[in-house]
Amino acid sequence: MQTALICHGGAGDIAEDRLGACLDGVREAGREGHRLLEAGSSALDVVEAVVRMLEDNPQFNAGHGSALNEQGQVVTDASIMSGHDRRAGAVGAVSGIANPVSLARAVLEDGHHVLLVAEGAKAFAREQGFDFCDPASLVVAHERQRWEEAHGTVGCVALDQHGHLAAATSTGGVLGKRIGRIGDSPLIGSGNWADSEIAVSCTGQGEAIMRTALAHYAACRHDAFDRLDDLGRAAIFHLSDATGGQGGLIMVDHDGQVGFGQNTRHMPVFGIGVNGEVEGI
Amino acid sequence: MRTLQFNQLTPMAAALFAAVMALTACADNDEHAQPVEPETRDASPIGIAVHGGAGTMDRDAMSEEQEREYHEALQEALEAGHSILRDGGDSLDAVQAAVRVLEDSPLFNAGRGSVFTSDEHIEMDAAIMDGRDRNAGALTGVRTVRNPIDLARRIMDESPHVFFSGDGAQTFAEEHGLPMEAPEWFETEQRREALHQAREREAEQGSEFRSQRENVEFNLGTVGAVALDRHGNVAAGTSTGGMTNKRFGRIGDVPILGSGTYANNATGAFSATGHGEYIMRAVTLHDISAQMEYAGRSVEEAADHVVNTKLVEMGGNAGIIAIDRHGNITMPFNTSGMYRGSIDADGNVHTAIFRE
Repeated sequence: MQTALICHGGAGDIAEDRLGACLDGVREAGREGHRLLEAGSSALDVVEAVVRMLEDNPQFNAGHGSALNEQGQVVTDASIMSGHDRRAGAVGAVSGIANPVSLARAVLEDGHHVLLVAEGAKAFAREQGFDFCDPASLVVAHERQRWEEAHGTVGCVALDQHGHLAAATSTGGVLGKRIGRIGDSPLIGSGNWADSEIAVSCTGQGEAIMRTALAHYAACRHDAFDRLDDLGRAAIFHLSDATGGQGGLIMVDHDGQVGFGQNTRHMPVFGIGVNGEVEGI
Repeated sequence: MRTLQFNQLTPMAAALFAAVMALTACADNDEHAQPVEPETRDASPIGIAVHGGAGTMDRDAMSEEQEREYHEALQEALEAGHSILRDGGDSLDAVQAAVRVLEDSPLFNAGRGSVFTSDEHIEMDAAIMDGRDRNAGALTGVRTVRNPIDLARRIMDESPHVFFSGDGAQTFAEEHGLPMEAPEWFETEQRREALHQAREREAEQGSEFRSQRENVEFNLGTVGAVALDRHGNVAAGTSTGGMTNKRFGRIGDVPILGSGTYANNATGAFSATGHGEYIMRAVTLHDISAQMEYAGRSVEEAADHVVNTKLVEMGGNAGIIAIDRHGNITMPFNTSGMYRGSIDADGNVHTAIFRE
């Protein structure tokens, strides 16, 4: 059966001298994810693995390289969803976790709750045996220097050999964000969505994405479009029309088609689907 | 269902109702007492619906006195919101006023009367959403804010952000001078007893208890309101104490836009209650709204399909209230009961608890 995958490294303005490295980052993670799918890995495992690679890449604003909030702390959000059974897990406002997407996966596997935040999420992580790192170690030099630089999130959606879809999204949030602010990344239906037809990961202005439940919006409109790029354009038009917001999204559907849409200047994207290799910046 | 008679109204509500009836009569006189055409009457309908939670409810286990208390609280909330709508006020103000009444009532799991977390605290979540521009405010994990729905409104009106958690939400509330209460003000013996029962059940059944269906009975009483005003604007608000014995900063559906709270002038306003994890995994309210907007379903069809087919297939116990942009109200639930009430475009007042 056809496998497919697409991943992104956040929508926003990226400095010209970093564009190449960002594109390399999504290419490398996307190719590795595709190799895992072809080797028989589940979509859920692959979206987690790809997002971990992107979280570990200091070019992107998730895990390592996360944005500093107004107290100079690194606070991250992440979510993951399995399409065929619609299981989901998410964490918000957690610090000291190098790979928040894996903590979200642990919430999914635990199955009792969907969304855990802040100290509670840390307590859960401790119970699950997660290692904690010094939050300062997650802040890389260029992050400290670039307060003003835009939002960043990473995400991946995939279709595996069993025809199962999954989506994962992870972010360090908005630079200088207020303490306790939760964005769209950990919210099922906003920053992340997967069902048996389509999987979606969004990035951009979190408030606008939440108000339009953008990932679920794209899923609801899937039937109306033959091409996912057209669906992506429609979803971004909706985001802009309803809220004036900016952002982007990536999608993979049950047929193995991959696509994306954005109204930001940049969004590093790499995908492999039935429609071939897809790339964008 | 209880169709309201005047002698069942609280005295204050009865007085307000009498005043409205008199005003309506005057308006009719100004129209030369012509019969009001339905199109004219419906040109700018108003309506409101409220809920006080869905779950396992046993008619035999509830005394008449208890039942009456619930009906009165629902009526008081409806009247608080409807009086604003009648005066030409905004749907946002109406849902906020209605939710505030239910938060202040110790009968419901929101504000005063919220359930206890595993470490015997109260942590409240709330959200409000404006159908005009889909702006919204939401919060989770506040402990001393008297009316979390008021905080949601302030976040919507005065912050560039939509959603705050824990200390961030508490700090925002303090900065904006929202009224606070001591923890004891929120706490009721009934909820403390529920925590002890939940702990016993968990000790007997292991952690599986937390994800079981009957767990919902320990979390009864999330409150919410939806309204349509004379200007054609809809709004939704929801408030809750969350899950009894909850751990790990668990957040349910209430503050998640599209899951527990949603409003869009193109479709309507919606508020959910029940097993939050399932409501979130189904993005329940955005699904209903999208079915109305893109599949041409009526609010009744869309809400019934999502609550009684989709959520049932997933195993999610839930109920929702909805009002569409024409004033049609529907309140489906897949549990044995839901505290609910409405005042429709024709002014009919209904409150109900059990399945009809």
